[in-house]
Amino acid sequence: MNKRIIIIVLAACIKASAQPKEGGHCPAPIYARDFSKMEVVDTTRLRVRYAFCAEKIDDHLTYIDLQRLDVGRRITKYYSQFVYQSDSLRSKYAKEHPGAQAVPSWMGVQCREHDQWSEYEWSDYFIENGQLTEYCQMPQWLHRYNSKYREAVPKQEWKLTNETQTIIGYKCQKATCHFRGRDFIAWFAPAIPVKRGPWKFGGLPGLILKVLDKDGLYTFEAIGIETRPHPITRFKEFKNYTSYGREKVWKMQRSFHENWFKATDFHKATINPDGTTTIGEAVSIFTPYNPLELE
Amino acid sequence: MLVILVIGGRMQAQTVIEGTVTDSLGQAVDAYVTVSPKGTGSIIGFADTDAKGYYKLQFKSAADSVVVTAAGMAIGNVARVVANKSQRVDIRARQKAIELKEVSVKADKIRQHGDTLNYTVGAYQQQGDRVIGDVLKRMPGIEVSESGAIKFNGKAIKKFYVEDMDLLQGRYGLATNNINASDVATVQVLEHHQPIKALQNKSLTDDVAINLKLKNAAKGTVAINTMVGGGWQQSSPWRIGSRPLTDGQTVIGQNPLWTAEIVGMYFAKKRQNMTLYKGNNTGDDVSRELTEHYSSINSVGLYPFCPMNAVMPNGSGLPQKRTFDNHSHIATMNHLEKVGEDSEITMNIAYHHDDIRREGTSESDRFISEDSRLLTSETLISQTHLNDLSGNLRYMWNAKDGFLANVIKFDGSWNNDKVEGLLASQLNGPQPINYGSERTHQHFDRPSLAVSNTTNLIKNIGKHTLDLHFSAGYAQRPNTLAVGVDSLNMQQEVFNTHAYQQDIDSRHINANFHTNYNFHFGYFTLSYGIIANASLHGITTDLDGFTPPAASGSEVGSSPSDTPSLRNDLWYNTYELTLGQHYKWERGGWRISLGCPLNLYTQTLDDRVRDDKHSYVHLLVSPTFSTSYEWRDWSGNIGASYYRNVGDPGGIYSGYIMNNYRSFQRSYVEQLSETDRIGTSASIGYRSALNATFFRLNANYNHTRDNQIYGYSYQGATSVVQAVDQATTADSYNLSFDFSKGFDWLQTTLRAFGGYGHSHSEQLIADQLYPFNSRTISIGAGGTITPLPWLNFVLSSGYSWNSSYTDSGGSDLLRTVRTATQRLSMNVYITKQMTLSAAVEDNYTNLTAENRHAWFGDIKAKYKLRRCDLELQLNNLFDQRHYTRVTYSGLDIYTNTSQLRPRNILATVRFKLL
Repeated sequence: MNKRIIIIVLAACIKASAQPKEGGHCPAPIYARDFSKMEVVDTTRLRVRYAFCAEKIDDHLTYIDLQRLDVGRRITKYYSQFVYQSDSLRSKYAKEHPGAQAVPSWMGVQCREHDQWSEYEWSDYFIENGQLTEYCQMPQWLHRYNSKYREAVPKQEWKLTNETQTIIGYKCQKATCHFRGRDFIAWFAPAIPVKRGPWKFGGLPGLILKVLDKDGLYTFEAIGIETRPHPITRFKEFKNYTSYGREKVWKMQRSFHENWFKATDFHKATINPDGTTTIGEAVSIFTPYNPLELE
Repeated sequence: MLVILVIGGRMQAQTVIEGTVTDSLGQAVDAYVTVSPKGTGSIIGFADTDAKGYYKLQFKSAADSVVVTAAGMAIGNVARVVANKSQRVDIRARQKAIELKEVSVKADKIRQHGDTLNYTVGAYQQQGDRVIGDVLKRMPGIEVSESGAIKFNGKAIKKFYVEDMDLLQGRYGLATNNINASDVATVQVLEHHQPIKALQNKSLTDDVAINLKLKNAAKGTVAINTMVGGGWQQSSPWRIGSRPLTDGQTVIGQNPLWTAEIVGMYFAKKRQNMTLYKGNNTGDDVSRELTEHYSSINSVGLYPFCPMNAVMPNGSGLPQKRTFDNHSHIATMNHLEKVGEDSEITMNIAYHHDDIRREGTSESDRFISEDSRLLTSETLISQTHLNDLSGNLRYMWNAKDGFLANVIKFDGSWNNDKVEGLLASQLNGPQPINYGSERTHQHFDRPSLAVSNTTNLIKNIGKHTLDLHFSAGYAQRPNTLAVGVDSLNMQQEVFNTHAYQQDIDSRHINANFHTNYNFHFGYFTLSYGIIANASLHGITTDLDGFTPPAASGSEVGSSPSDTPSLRNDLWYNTYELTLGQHYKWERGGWRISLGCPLNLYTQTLDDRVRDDKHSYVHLLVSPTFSTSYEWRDWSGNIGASYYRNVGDPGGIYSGYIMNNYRSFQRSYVEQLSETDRIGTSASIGYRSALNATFFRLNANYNHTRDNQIYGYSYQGATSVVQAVDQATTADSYNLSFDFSKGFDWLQTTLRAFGGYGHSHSEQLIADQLYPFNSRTISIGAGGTITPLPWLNFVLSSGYSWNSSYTDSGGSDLLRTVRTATQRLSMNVYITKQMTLSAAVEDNYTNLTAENRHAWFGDIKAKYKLRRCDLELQLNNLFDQRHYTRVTYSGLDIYTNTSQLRPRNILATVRFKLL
């Protein structure tokens, strides 16, 4: 089956405003993860929801993503709630509509840029025994590169300051660090005795409720805390993801963002009067990308 | 594991506090310890406990006392206030669940737009994009053809809405080519779209639809856009006969050039209207916008049989803009009115008028026998008058508990072709004959009429759904092809009448019904369907002026007493009942599918000329099989299919019909044609996104067997074609590859492709069977490069070799056609308002005596002002006057030279009236 991707593209570049804050261009994956094959690995003691790159913190539709930190007894998981919900609705949809040959590409909250893939939305992070495992789902037509890697839980060298502010009712103290090429500002809540935060952030004496980089490209801000227990789950299909080192996964993600057209062998095409398609010249469009991790 | 962080600038003595954190039983707990000056709450240092519960804090503070807090998920926060001095502080904490206030900015609101993908138009709109079709082309997954047809992820869209209403009923090219991009807020792609509300939770479709959400400012107001333009080119006389036929050195097109359009649109909640006029004489085919890309309802197809046409200058292979001398006008009115909450009436009327003139020379070099070939040269000037009027009226009631739609369609046309020609022919070989030159006049009058009515009723009765779909239609073509050949007229001493006249009155009545069901069991999908179809063809033909070859008995299968007739009067009816079945198994990277439709196919032939009635019943089985496997960057698939086709209207007439003035054909040989075809294919592919390397190799083989062969005989330049009861087979083999590689350097992409094809088949010429072979080799390469953000180049280059020979023939028959095409195009984004594009192209062919290289160049500049858009085109820069294309067909070589529109300049201005 020829999976060559074909389209008519006359553009010399894709407008930067079409992209998530960090630039790059990749359409969202087509395949939903299979909810019928999931294992429960722990139970939450704390669940924190973070807005990712919100324009207005009280409007979900202005977020690029809503993400969850599930803190369990042994395992801590960080993942996208929007993608999880979309995949879950899509799985349900597929079950309820057995005649479907494909499922809708996105269901649930129509957040900002939901048709755009980002590794910060389509990755699940598990912390267990001091190790962080990242399972990365890759963009449209590149799912064969779905990958996983493991590293020691990253440690940020924090500098505490005595500035404070209140976030969702918790008094937070400011701390700063330099991590993988960027300077970050974090606000942690000493009243919440959990040394974690969004994404790969942690290590402060209290839950990190807000992190932003100094350039203002990326923000994570808590919008809700729950203590009711929830199961922490892991998709069985993660076992089929290919193991690579962090560097290789990082390079792939960066190159996909920078030129998804090149990576997918995108071609111009003409539809003939008989409905067939004639494949034309290859398309290569570079879109500058500014990832969260610069190294 | 002692990490200490300190803040504060003053010089203070360092304090060290250490100790253990344990639970009530004295066991170490997973916790950390913080320290803050008393009364501030501001943490100045913290340390984790180790496996034994030990911690060590080092900090500097001027405070008298500090708060040391042990914290952890198991113990919460346990604080001790101690003096600010180095000391040991052991903390024993009780296990307790953390008590935190649950907070939330606001409850999550899930907006379920399950099947909708929204593209914000502003995000994809670029410099130079004017209408929504320009922006659609850039949206990932969406492809738009020149006529405006849209595909999403390779699938043709089944509905096109503006503000959720289907105003255009399939002619959505009108919307994509005319609605301003700046008036559209969002393009919604609706996947799994089920337009029938009563089926929305019952029946799933794989259909994709597009909905344009307009900006508020564009709703409820009348918008009128207009465009006018003019230009100059060298002109030539227009009417046929206004100048003598020449050696083809004149040009086509008229001076001055003009183009104009006016588009009115109104989109409100209960009423939508789109009315437009477009016209030009610049070669632009505006009628493309009237193409119906989908039918609003499954109406029957109506194809009254008419196997004749005028011989026209054709086949340049160039864009029609270069070869068309036209006077085009289209006008269309589309109106939608909501007549109730769930019902609406839609009316669409379209009219197309055109006068198209073409001029060219066609040369054919046809195989007659191993040592002789028939050479013909024909210079033609044609003028086609088109008048097409079509309309449909649709009522639709679309509610949750039921659906009713009724569509009445009407299609009428009064079209005719007039062609003046000069034909020269000669037979080469041991006994050369020069048939001399003939002046020919063809007049093809081809009116047609089609009406149909389609009703679809869907009703939910409890859990079940009743779905009735019935469509029936009638079409008729009373057509006449009249041909005058000067010498024949002189022989017959008849002037001002036609040498040949073919009348056809063809009718087609068609009705159908179908339904489909799917089942799923684990990895298996089973699909079954029932299709019922009745198709009735009534064909009456009468040919004057042709003397058929004497029935030699053997190859002409009619009864020996009859001379072959020049009349047909028959009804050919087919009744089909098909049980469709399709099985699919998918798991991991594997996908296996098997289809096996069973078709009970009944045909009746009532030939009133031969007074012969026959009926035939066949059970046709057409299995298909395919399997594919994907593993990481590799994929492979193989497939095979078999089908059998019995009879078609083209194979049942026993009286001669003039296909064109040089070809007369009869096709019935006492039995229906039977065709068996076996096809197999295999491919293997590699695609690495990491190093942007893509490769695919395809191979396929086809074998066809027919129970009859068409035999050719020649009377001068005229061919007489008869079906002969003799089996024939054909085989073809093809191998092709495609390789591409992308580089980061200047966004460069390189591509190479190539193919080899070989086919073997038979031709029956003058009772002699010639097995023959053809071979095609093609290779090509190309690339794109973007040296600067505002500059982009595209280069492509292709070569092909084509040759044919008979198994027994000498090498003199082996002539190779070599063709090559090179093209370089460039886009320059000079400023945000100004875009310049230029293209140069060379087409080469080796078989023409002169003008082997044809160079084309075009330049286009666009300038966007606040209130209007300006465009300037310079076409055919090198003033190429004619273009020759050579094609192979079997053992015959055709050379078509078309007259072209000369160098021309055209300027247009486009603005909004309202």
